[in-house]
Amino acid sequence: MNWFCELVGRLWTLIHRKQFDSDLQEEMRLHREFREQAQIELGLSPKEAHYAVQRRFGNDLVLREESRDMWGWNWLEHLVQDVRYGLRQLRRNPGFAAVAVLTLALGIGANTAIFSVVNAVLLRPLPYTEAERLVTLDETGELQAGMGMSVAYLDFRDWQRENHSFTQLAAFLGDDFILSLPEGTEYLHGRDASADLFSVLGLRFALGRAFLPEEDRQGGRPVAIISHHFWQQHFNGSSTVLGQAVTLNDKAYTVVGVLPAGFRFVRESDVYVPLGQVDPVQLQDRKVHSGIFVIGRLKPGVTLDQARSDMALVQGQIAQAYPEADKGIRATVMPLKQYLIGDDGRTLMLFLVAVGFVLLIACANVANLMLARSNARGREFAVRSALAGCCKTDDLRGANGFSREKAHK
Amino acid sequence: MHQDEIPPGTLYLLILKALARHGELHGYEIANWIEQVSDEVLQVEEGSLYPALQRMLIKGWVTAKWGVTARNRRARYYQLTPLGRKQLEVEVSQFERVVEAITRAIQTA
Repeated sequence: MNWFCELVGRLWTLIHRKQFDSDLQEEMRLHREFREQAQIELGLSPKEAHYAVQRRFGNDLVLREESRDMWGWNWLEHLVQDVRYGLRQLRRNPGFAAVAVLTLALGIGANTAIFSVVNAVLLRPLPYTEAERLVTLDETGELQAGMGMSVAYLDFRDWQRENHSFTQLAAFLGDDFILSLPEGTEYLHGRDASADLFSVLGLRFALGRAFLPEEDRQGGRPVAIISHHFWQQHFNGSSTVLGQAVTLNDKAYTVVGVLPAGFRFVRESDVYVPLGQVDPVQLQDRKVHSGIFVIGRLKPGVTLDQARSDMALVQGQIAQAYPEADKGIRATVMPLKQYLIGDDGRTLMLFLVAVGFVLLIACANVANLMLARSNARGREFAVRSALAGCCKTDDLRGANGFSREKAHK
Repeated sequence: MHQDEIPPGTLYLLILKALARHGELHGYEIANWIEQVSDEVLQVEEGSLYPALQRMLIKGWVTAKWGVTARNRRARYYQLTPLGRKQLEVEVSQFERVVEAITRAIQTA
């Protein structure tokens, strides 16, 4: 508790330091008067007594300064003095101040701008549950050299069944829809999604549910999941939307779920329908197909390398079983974040380093300006240090600021 | 008369003792009491007295309030707090231990 009492005491003196100072001054004056009185009683003349006491006391200001030292706030007073002095100098030279402020502002501004991008893109995790365990899977071969969207649906189904590395694998395909409304038609961007897509991402529905496995196949019930935006726009956010029908490409789909607000994956989509119901022509051929985008969630404790060798094994078996379509095709696994950022990450870091140097250069320029100015102010420094009665070059404050401490030493 | 300065560290002890003995004293009275009680051997420098009092105020060993002297002068009177009383015991026992040790050391033949 002692340190606490002391802290409170110190704060008290900080708040009331004018009062404390004047109290101290008055009690020291009184002390001196008593002392003088005593000297006079010993037989000294009032004048002699006065000087004797003066000698004994020494410099009143120094004494008060030393007493104030005990409050432990001198550093703060010096800081305030230095800041005031700095502000005074800036006001006196508005041109210099403007140039210095502008230089630093540009340097700092550029850094802040780039850093906020780096923070958003590189540092912050993707907005999905345990996003570090999300990966994308792809097929590469002689024909399929692209990045993403090139997996055959049947291969994907085999991967789902055979792998030992993922809690879930999900797939989707970008698709366009024509929405029929009483007042006309509207073009929509949507997706064909496998039943697990939303649970792989760890999504919580605003309303309703994901697709059921039996809906995610040929002949399943036509159901749709809509985006939050679409829900607000066409259903005014009404909770009765579940079970209602939307007409997409002249086919009636029943709404079973509403995605949470702000959800986007790679890009925003208005509607999702089951991938398994897509025209078999697009899905049922291993060799010629639309190419789907596959993501997976690694099982806890499974590393990327383990998943890669597992998938190499699985895909190897598929290639053996279907040599005509899958010969020479390998499965690749890549962290989702790496896939989404791509080479932009390196470019961004390069930018960050570059603007870092810009700030350094700005600082160097300001330092140069200061140096040039202090050369011009040589005379002023000389006068100041002479007036301050102190020639210590190691403490610029004394020369600079007319600090009270130095002024009377 | 030869006067000695108070050994460093014992000024707090003497101030605490003065206040414990008299209850309420202002700065000059404290200095005076120490000089008188030591037969003018110990001399209290104002340069150390007031910093010491400020420090003791912050430590919460003493409190200060303004009062009036017998001759009707405004003066600042110091008083011990319970914390200060405890501190006095600590300082006394510490001092005695040190003095005893030093005495033993110089009496060793």
